[in-house]
Amino acid sequence: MTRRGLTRLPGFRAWTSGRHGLALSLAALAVSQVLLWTWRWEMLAPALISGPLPQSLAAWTSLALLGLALLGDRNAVPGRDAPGTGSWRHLTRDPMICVSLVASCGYLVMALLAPALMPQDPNRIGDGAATQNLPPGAAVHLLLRRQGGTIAANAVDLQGDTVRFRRGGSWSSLPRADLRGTLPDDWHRVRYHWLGTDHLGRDLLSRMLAAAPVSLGIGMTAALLAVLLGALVGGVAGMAGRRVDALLMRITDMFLAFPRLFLVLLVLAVIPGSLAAATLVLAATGWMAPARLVRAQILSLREEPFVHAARAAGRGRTGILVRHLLPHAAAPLLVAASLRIGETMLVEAGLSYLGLGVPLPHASWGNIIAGARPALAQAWWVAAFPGMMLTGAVLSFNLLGDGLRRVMARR
Amino acid sequence: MGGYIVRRLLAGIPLLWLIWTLVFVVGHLVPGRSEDLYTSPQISRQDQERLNRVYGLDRPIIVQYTRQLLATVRGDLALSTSRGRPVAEIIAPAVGPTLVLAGTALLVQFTLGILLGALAALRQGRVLDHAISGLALVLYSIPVFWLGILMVLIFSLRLAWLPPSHYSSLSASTAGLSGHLFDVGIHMVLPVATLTLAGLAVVIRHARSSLLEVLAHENLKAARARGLPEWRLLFRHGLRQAILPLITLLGLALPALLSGALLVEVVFSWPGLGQTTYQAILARDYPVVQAATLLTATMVVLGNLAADVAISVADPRTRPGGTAP
Repeated sequence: MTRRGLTRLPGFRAWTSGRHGLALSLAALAVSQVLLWTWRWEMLAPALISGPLPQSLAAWTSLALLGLALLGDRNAVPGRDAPGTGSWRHLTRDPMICVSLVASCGYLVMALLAPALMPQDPNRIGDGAATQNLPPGAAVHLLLRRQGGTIAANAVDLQGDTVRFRRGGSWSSLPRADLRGTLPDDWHRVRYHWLGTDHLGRDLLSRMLAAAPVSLGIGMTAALLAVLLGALVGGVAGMAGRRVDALLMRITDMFLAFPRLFLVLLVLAVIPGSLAAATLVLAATGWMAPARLVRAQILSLREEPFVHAARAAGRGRTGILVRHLLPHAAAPLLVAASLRIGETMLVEAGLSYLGLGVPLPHASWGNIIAGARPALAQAWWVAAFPGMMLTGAVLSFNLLGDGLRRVMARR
Repeated sequence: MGGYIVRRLLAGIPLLWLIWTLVFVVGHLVPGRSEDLYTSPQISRQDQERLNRVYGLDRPIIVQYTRQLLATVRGDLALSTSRGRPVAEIIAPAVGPTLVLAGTALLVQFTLGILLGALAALRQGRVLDHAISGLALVLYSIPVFWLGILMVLIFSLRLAWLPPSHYSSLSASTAGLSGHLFDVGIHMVLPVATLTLAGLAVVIRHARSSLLEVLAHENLKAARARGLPEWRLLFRHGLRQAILPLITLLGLALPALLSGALLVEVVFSWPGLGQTTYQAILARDYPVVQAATLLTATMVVLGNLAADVAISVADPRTRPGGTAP
């Protein structure tokens, strides 16, 4: 079979079919995410399109690595699958994986392009009653005044030389001569709010788009850090002997005994909330399941002949762990990571709903929903749409993780 | 049996001690001295020192640790910094509502979850199975607080069927016992439904997979060969064997249940532990947060213990060194 598409790129096979391809991809992905993090997420999309080289490189590589990690063909069946396409074929044969892959990549692209897609400034507070709690699809009329400035109105009516306009419930009027230009197009603009506005008159669609990189970014970064931390703890516990193992597992049990939200709140009650704090706290409270996974994997592999062989050849425990055992755990770790992303996003949203996660004025889907509380009876859309967006994102990552697990279980 | 329970209880003590230590460490070693939490810039230096003495913050950290640990063992919790009353007085009335909310939700969750899981297992690979599994996946992905808000939007604000928040109405105290119970029941519907739906997915999936595993066993094949209808097989023989992993799940589901309960309590202004914790965090009242966290962790440890005991009652093989009674 001939090699097609991506697989013809030099180095592709070495990367994806090497024993450590998947683990390397995950590690590189985590590193680039952390690098990105230090440049702030809202800079991400401009960075991709027009930003300085290192930033856009970091952004694109993290995306590409995610793709490659998924493509990895360590488990391709020799003689049946073309090199570089094995796992990919397995994956795309499963319709659920295809759908979820498209959906989660769609979310990622949306997050990356958010600033370009936003119809309006997500943080601009509207002009009084005329712009607050507007229903989806509402139009706001902007009257441009001759001496500068604008008036926002819900309806406009030109009667001879006076312009009557409605703001909220009340009509007022002003002479036509006060407005700029001569033609209606000179002094009149219409702004549409496709998903309505919130209680401060901010455009909901723009805010939801602005929240995408924050919510997804925290979810992915924290989940990846948690998985790496878990791999470290689980690896050490599995290799370091009975005493250390018992101690580490006790600590893991202790963390598992906490309802996660309480643990997170305990920390955020003391340190002030910020994007970085939220990410680190979520990572520090999500490593337990991956740690157990890796430990179980290592305990089951520790007495395999290839490990004995490596030991006989003079490799130390760290070497065996890093070069022989962890690569075997890479596939289940990938599944754990994608399932963890959804879960982490849910906890982040819960925290932001409580006002302790993503601090304002950053938008996250959770804190937009929190902002809907004061006017829930008048403006249901402010709570409903971000929730749908969040559920969709979590669902697509969960579907992906589920599908990957199914494919791996089938082998 | 009694010895086993005592041994398991004793094994829980080091775990609780570790948890206590973690809570203490988080409170004292994170950036920012803990005394800063209790004061504001307006307080004079003398008052600050007096407060530090009252709360024991002027002592070395190891002394604070030992004293607080001993005090906790004696059941003597600290003073609340925002309300000036003993923490126990603030926490105690919140335990009941949380137990009512979480307990009811857990019960409904497992009944409904096992039923739906059994249905899915019975119709494996058919439309109903896919529908139930799909439902489970969607429920697993919905943020619980958003679900609560949707419930309020639909059932309280739009349809006006059920009250949107709180534990009881103001007028309930005059309505007699039955009226009071009815009132609390009405208020419980939405929070319990929200919390139930949030945890339902996990139960459905576990019930389905463990039933499928059991249904493939030899003895069930034999029963099937004798012509027993599939549903009878499932409920008479299958569930009894599949119940063990579900009891384990009962213990494992507790942390998620209590995390969910916190959010549900905030959404519905339910006067429970979660709500108390949340208010304490907003008031920077660390002793209350500490006590509430410890209490929920203790609940989880005890719940797991109860699940282990239940398993060893149901299945004597799991008892260490135990034989059938």
